[in-house]
Order: sequence, then structure tokens, then C-alpha cells
Amino acid sequence: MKPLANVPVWLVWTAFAIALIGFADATYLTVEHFQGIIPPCSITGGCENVLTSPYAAILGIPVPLLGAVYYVLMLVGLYIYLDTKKEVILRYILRFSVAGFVMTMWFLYVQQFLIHAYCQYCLLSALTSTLLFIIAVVSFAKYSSHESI
Amino acid sequence: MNTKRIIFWLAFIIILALIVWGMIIAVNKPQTKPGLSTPAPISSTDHVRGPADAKVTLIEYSDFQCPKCGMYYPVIEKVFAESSTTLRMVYRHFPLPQHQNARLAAAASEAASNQGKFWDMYSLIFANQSEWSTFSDVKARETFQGYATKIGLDIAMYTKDLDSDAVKAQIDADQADGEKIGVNSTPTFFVNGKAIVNPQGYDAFKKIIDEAAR
Repeated sequence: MKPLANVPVWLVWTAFAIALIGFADATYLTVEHFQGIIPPCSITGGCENVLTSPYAAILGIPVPLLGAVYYVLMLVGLYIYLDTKKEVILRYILRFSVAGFVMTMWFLYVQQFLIHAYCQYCLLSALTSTLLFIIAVVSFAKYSSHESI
Repeated sequence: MNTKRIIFWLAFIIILALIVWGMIIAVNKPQTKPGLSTPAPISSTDHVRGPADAKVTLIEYSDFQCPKCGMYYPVIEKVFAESSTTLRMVYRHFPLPQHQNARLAAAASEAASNQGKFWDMYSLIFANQSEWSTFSDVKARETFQGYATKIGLDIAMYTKDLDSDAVKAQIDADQADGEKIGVNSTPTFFVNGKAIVNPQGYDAFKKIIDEAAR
């Protein structure tokens, strides 16, 4: 049985870099939201439909803000691990990526079937959260025993 | 905590702060002026309001279902009301494919135009944008017909015109003109033939009109 602590540091840094991209993306939309800016409607677009739809907020909280908080928590968790190298931290943070992935699936479903439009910023976040999820799955599969998941 | 760890965590805080700061700058940076050609001159088929000898002509390429166009609607109305002697305004259709009811809304405004009530229909359609945007085609048709009744249109004529080839051709012609000069998003505004960067809010918009009127 390989402990999760054997996950190579470069992989954790990679996850950190990906989460930074996700954070920047979500922050951009959060700033736009709170400044009341609606993107113009472009021939290549659909973003305006997504961001002004009823699905752009959950219980009154704008989705970009939720995304930004999610990525901050990921970043803090990964950084604490990089600082302390405590395996338990990595275990929790990698599990947390499942939550991000589940939300991503929901938002892709909403865009495809309920709004019938895609927003490129949302798709970038879908990509980063999926990559984080893949890193988590790979880490658990390769560096951790099944019982410890 | 040793110095190394303090630096490690300081770096973290600085990186996050830089990203937030960078994004605030990115959101607020002035857009570059779109490189668009001069729109076609005003013709008899255009929807025009304001004095013919106005110093300023504002042409808007717009989509009735575009949220940003809807956001600009009250701004434009106020600018137009406050610049009644200096401003002439032209509305041209540019319905985007991702907006399911945009073409129908444009057709409704054209059908109203045939009875001399384009601007009444324009106002009702924009003022109620959030209501009909999500409607099915059938429901949107009912809604627009309700507006037609409200502004006193001959409904038999309105329904006939709504799906007529002439109305369709008018919308297509506006859109083709827009595409020809490089319009690729809505709303796109031209002041005296020159594309402007979408101004943020009433004051900025009014300033552009006032400066052009000088």
C-alpha cells in the first residue's frame, strides 16, 4: 500500500496552477457581476444568456462567487499541504475536488439542456475543475490504497 | 514560524491579491474601439425618430432579446428625451442566432412599423424583455400580439405582416448591412457614422451625444 504522501510534489503544484487559472476566471466573472456589467451579445456568444439566466445564482449567491470560493479553498488546501506535507490535508482537498466536478456536470447540463447556450468563461472553469478531479482520481488510484479513500 | 515559511505564505497572499487586482483591472479596462466601417446611409425603410436636420445621428444595431440591448434601452430613451433637438436615432435589426425569440420580436416591430407604430412596439418589446425572452415561439407570438392590441394595431393586418416575406427581407437586409460593415455584437452604436465604444451609463452616453452636437 502506497501512502498518498507519495504523490509527487510537481503534481500538487500542477493542481495548484490549475486552481489558480480557475480562480482568476471565477474572479473575473464575480467582479463583472458585482459591477453590474453584462457582456455584449456576440455572434460567437451565448455567454449573456448563461450569465443572465435564473441558473446563474444558487440560493441568491451568484455562481461565479461560489466558483471563486471553491478555487480559493482548493488553493489554500493545496498550499497548506505544500507547506506542511501532512497527508490528511491532501486527502481532504483531493476529495473536495469531487464537489467541484459534480457542480461542473450540473452546469454543463444546465447550459446544454436548459439554457441552450454556452459561456466560454464557464467552459474554462469546467475544464479546470475537471482537471483537478482527474488529478485527484489519479492520485488516489496510483498512490493510495482503496481502503484509505 | 521561521522566515522561510513566512515568505512562503506571503507569496501565496500576494499571488491571490494580484489575481483579484488584475481581474478588476481587466473588467474595467476601456474596450478598444471596434474597427467598423461606416453604416449605410439612412433610407426610407429605416426606423428613424428625431428631427431630420439633427446635428447628431445615432444608429443602433440591436437585438430585442439581447440582455445588454435591454439594459441600454432606458439609457437610450433618456438620452433621446434629453437631446430632442439635437439627436436623430435609427434602429437597425441584428437578431443573433442564440436568441430564440429575437427574430420574431424584430418581425413584430416591422409589422407594427407597417402601421406607423414601430417605436411603440419597440418600447413595449424592450420594456418587457425579461418576460418574453424565455417563452416558446407560440407564447411569444401571443405576447407580441397582446402588445399589438395594446398599441391599437389592426390585428388582422399585423398577423399577416408578421410572417410576410417583406418583413423577413427587411430584417435580413438590416442584418446583412450590419455584417458588411463588421458588426459582430449587439448593441453596436454609431454616432455620425463612426462606431463608438459602448458608454457605461447615461452620463457617459449623453456626453458623447453632446460632444458630437457641438
